[in-house]
Amino acid sequence: MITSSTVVNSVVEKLRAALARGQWRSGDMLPGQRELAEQLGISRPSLREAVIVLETLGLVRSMPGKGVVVLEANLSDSQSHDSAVAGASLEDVLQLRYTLEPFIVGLVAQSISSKEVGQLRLTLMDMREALEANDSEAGVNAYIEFHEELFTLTSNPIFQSVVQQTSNALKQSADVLRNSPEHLAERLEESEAMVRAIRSKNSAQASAEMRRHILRESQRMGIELNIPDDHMHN
Amino acid sequence: MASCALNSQHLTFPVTLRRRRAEEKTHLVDNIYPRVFDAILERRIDTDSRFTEASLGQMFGVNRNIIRQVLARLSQQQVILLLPNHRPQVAAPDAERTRQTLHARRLTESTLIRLACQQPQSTQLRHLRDLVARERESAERGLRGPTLRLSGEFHLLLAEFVGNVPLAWFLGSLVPPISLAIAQCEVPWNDHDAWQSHGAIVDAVERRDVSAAVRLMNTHLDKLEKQLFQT
Repeated sequence: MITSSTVVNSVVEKLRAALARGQWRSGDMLPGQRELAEQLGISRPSLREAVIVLETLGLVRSMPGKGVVVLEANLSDSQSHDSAVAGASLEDVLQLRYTLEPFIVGLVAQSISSKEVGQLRLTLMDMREALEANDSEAGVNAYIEFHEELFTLTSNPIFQSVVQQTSNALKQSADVLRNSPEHLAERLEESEAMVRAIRSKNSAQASAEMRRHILRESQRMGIELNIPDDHMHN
Repeated sequence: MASCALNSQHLTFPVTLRRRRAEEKTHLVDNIYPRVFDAILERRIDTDSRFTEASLGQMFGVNRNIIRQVLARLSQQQVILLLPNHRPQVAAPDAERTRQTLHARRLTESTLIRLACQQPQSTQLRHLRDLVARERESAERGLRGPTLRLSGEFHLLLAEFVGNVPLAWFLGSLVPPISLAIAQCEVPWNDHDAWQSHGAIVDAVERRDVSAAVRLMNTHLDKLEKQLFQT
């Protein structure tokens, strides 16, 4: 089964936007899988994955044998989730990333398929092309996409909602990222090191690379990350 | 000028009244929330219970609006499932979900406890000790629901004091479902001494003794896991 996380992510965003617009009201059933997949121009497996993400975010609920129902209370929840991160400082977000992402990447390294590794490498190639073309816009987009793809691969659904949050935070800080095109080469180098570790299924190494990347990222942003000492050795 | 003053008076009066009503409502929600959660933790309201906003409102002597907000909070905490056009339902996390929640909780608490040791404020420590005292009291009186709930609140209060909003928010979706899983555990649960571990954790935080605080937190979570999975 080919599951492109980029496709899944863009479907998640489309559906989220449609829900936020009120295209479907709480209690409505989403159109059937076949119809919805056709409308969105994607495969049914991708749609199913997108629905799992939305379900984890509390926006919809699958009712076996009935379809997918749109939730109300959780729609406003997800807005308050957004604001939990929107109101947070860059340092808080980096600290959150440092707490969870090394571990999540370690999990991904244990379970990733070669096809999924291939997808990650393709995104890194986009990043390299952008770097060579001096296109910082495309470079930042590829970096954010890489981050999203990586975490869509996590097998622990509890992390999905928080990953969505950090992705949103990354998008919010995209301007900061874009204003420093000279950092793109470093970001690419660090991401490549991460993917090398993931590819060789070296969980500990992948975690270490993510830790290094987030520390470097905070240095690049001029933030002194408050990391309690012996955390490094975990 | 005079008409201006009159206008502003006209404006402020209903605004303060509205604000006061909103405050009373929040206050009421804050009071009813623990009572509903306790009922769930004591399984007086259980996964197969049939209830509605109206019936809960009657049970707790408040109107549906208040109950709706209480249920929304519990749904955000993964304790209640809210489905449109369906009755609200108590969640029943399966073993895999609980394991994953606990894992995420370990990571989050491990950072939080370290940060908590950096600059503990005396008022915060006092609040934590007050909470531990209330935990102890409910444990000694054998009040299972409140003991479990307060035990979870300890972790959330500690997280709140650290001041990282997204981390505290994330923990807020991890602690209540674990309390629920414990309540739904088939085996008899021994939670009479959680307050003791919590007390020791506050002591370590006050001494800024990171390694002791981390060790105590880990032992505490190990114990939770052991009880949940009987390993």
